[in-house]
Amino acid sequence: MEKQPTGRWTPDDVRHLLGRTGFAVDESQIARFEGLSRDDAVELLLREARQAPVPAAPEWVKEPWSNTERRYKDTTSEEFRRMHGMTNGRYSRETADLRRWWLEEMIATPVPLREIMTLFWHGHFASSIGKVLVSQAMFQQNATQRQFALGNFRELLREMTVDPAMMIYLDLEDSEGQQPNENYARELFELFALGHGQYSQQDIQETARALSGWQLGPEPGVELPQRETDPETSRRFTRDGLVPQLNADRHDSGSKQLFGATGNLGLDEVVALTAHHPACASFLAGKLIAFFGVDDPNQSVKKRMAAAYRDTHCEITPMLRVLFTSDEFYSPNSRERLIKSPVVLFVGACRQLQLEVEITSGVNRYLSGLGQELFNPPNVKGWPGGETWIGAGTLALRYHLADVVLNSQEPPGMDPIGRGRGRPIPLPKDPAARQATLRNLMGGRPGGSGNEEGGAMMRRGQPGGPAIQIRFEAARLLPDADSLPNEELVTRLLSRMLTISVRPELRTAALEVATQYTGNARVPAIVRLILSSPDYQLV
Amino acid sequence: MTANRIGRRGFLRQAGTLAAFGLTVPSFLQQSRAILNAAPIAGLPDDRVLVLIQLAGGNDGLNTLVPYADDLYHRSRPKLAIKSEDVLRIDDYSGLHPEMYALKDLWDQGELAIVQNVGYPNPDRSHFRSTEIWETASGSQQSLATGWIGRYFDNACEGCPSPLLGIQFGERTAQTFAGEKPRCVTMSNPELFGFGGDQALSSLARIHASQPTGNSAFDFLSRTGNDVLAASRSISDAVKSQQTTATYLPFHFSQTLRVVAQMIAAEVPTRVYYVSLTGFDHHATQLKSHATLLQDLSEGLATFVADLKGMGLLDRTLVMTFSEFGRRLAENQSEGTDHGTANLMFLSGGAVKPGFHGERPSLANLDQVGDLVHSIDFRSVYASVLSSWLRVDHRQIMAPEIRPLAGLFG
Repeated sequence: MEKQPTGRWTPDDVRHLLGRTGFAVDESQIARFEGLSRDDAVELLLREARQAPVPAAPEWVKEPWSNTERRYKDTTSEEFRRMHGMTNGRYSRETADLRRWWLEEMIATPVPLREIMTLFWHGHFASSIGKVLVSQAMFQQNATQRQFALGNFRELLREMTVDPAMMIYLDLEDSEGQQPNENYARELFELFALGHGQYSQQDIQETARALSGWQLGPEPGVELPQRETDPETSRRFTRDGLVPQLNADRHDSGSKQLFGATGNLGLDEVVALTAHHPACASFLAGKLIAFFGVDDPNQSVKKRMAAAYRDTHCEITPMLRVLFTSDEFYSPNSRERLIKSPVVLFVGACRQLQLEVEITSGVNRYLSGLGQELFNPPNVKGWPGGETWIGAGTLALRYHLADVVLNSQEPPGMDPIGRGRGRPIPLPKDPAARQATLRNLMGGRPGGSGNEEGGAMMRRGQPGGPAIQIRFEAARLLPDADSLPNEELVTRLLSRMLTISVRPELRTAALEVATQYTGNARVPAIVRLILSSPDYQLV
Repeated sequence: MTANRIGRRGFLRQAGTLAAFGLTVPSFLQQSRAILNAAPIAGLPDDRVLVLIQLAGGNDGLNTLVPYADDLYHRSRPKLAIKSEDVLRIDDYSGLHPEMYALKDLWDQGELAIVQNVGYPNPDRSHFRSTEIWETASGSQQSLATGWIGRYFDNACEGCPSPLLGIQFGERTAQTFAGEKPRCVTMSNPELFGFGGDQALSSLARIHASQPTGNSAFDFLSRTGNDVLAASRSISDAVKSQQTTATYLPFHFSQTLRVVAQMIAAEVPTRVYYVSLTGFDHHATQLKSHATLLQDLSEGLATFVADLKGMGLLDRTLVMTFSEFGRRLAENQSEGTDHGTANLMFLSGGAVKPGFHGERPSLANLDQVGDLVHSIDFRSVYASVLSSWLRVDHRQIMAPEIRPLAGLFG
């Protein structure tokens, strides 16, 4: 491959590269990369991302998975209700834990690029726990996306097509030859591989036929009980495993045509024809270029990335190499203008400020409020990103980040109105009895009315433990903070927290804040201001 | 205008106090003032408000508006049927659930419309999917990424600079608001816009540039940040000091509606509010919990309507309920009901014509699963709301073949 020019590689370039390919710039990382050429730095970044060890699965992941709400014809409704209730509860606990597990990995990993790419694929091959419901399937999908994050796209595409969560999310497990479900086939072309306009309705139908018959079943060798199942029972309660397998009886084995090929096409053929389709390379390149916030005015990066993809038979890393070593990546129009996703914003703050973080439900509520709840993308298109992250409501919530990370508090505005007494209780119809009940609810205060209470109820109150558990210590961040003059302190904090260049207005305001506070209060006050700035939203 | 109402002028005055924080009056404030000053919601032809109330989980419409005179009802629900003598009778066939006395009063006062037997063809019985269908106003074989109100904002509110065009109470933005640009603020309560004392606000105001920098992403953030500041405190202050004329129950749903009433009264530039009442998914032992929810709904709605009426705001406010589906006619083995199809919608305020709309559902003529066969497409109700209440061409927002429901508005 032709070498890219490396002449204009500066310390700012290093910050830019690490900022975009990680969650936040880490000073120690800068030192490692600064001495290298651009090519060597990118090479090191990519190699480490490919070689990073795989995090151990959460402890609740079971091999083989079994359906704990399996319903047979002779399951009594009482037993079913019990199993269903317990399973629901477990799924929701496990999903919360899965979010904790991933966020902790993002915060701790020395190799952020691999998690950034996993996040990219999570949004690209989007599936939502809202429909999938099975927590372990979401874990499995995440593990596969991590495994292939910088691997081969054709292999990833095959894995995703028969990925249990994806098969549930886009109904492939319900697709059979007689009446194939087109949902997956359509999204495969439109969102996963080719882009709108690159295929016909005929292509979708043929692909749906080719993929018909894939179902989720038990691990080979697992003995299933000899019990009858009512055919009306929904799939959720009849699944015996999460292993994709082709059921020949449900597969349409007739001849199909796709992108010029004819024959008894099946999964492997569809995947190969799609991954090698001329539109696939530039579609993927375009998505990566947008995700990493690169301005590519004459599509030259896109073309070079697409060529790298084709030359290497669908490898993802060569595309990234082209992207990260391109001059366009470092051009002024590519810098300082990518809006951080909520996850990057939060994880970045945790890493930069060296916080002691416990990922609690409050963290997930916060990310969800900002518009990015992991494992629950808004729809099959994933998160559109860019300016759509920002509205008056989500920006206001971003400006409360300091409450979360410095004060370990849920931001104001997160509490449901009427919390504590949120759930209604039956009230007597008789007016006097009703008044008495309401009085009791108000804590027996005479004359207390719902309205007066309303304001008080807006205050925060945390039943069942603190919603946020984060510890910030100024001394850990800057051990010599107390002895630093304001100028020096502000300079250091701005340089540590911002990847982008420092705007004079922000520096002036930070200096002013520094003079308003003394002692222990000085660092948090400056950090708070930086966290609540438009500048901090950008990388 | 009553003495204790803050109203637009008060709201403006409070926004104006921000000027004290800047060295000079920043241009964002002038812009914000222009936004807030123009009557009634800048960029929109009128000050009408739509309040959407989602009954999440699938409300059992047949135990809400009870067909007490129908034998099939009693035979299909040996354990769950509401006794005929308990029903709050509306006519000789149906009446409201006994806990909905407040809503019955509203009906008797001619303030309530009920659209019966609303659904859509090829109904989907998944919460996830059917909610998506109702929120995006798609057909059941079609998938749309944008919501019907999101498309309304994109199509008809482009000239409206309000950063608070939609307000959703809750944690997640409903797909109803999904559009090209986020125009909806999602908050659990208005304290979202509180940023501590004057000093904190002053620092925030200072770091929001008033001049374009040439970095489009930064300028966009800075502009939106200015919107946040302009809305900041003004909203929570308006809400705190805005009196209401009715006493709301202390529960979440009613208290949220109280805040909505305060915001409407304070003339916050919001076109559509969205409030959810959750917990309707009653697969088992539903009698008591459903009754409690219906009481909460009935009390909340009736108080809200009375409050708006008391403040003279009901003429410009339309309230509408919806739920992703109704429930099966036949009760299940667990004294609950399973996911069904057609359902009813309540509407009040605005120019809505009170009384029944549409035919009552037939309990004899069910689909293969044993569910009601809808007679009114929910999208035709939306089309009416869009064309008659929000006064836009519904064909730009939903499939053009959908016709508005005739006679819904007087």
